Amino acid sequence: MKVRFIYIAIGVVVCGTLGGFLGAAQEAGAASWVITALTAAVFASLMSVSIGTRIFRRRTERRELTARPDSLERHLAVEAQSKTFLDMVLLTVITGCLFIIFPTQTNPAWVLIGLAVVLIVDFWVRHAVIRKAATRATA
Amino acid sequence: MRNDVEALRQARKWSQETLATNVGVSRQTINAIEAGRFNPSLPLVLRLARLFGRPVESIFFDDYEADHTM
Repeated sequence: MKVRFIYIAIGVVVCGTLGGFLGAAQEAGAASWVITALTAAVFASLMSVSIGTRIFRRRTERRELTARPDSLERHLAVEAQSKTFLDMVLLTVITGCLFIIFPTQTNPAWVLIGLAVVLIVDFWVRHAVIRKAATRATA
Repeated sequence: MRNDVEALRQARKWSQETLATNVGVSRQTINAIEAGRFNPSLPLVLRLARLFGRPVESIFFDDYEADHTM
């Protein structure tokens, strides 16, 4: 689990750095092949992080039997997912109502990205809380 | 739900890891079941009963009757 998070953190740093270079190259009007190469590098690093993380996860799940239908971990994940889904419905309705009541010029893409980030954080917080309650004093 | 999983496991000198592998779940699952913090699914209960060679009701005890006695 920790190895996976370290891998993700390194991937985020690499993607961010490459994205920064790409932005700077575009601002400076660099040659088109530089921009193409940097775009390809950002894409490749994003893909390698997502595929690599998935491989890590699958391998860990297979070794520790955590993805089996009867496992506690699977139960916790499903419970956290179901609660996050309810949050998603509520947040989407609230956000939609706010947009109707207070129309703004905010780019809807940023709102969607913000919503996605909030939901991801929501899932992991819920997962951590449920896991702590289920495993408290048992380790 | 109370259970005798820990006692039965220790009587056989099995580690949680061994029992978990035998019934096809994670060690943390066995840990939570023994502590009474996780109610196992019916297929898992049946696998545990089969493994210990005991009827289900002699391993797992429902608190319902105790809670609903007048």
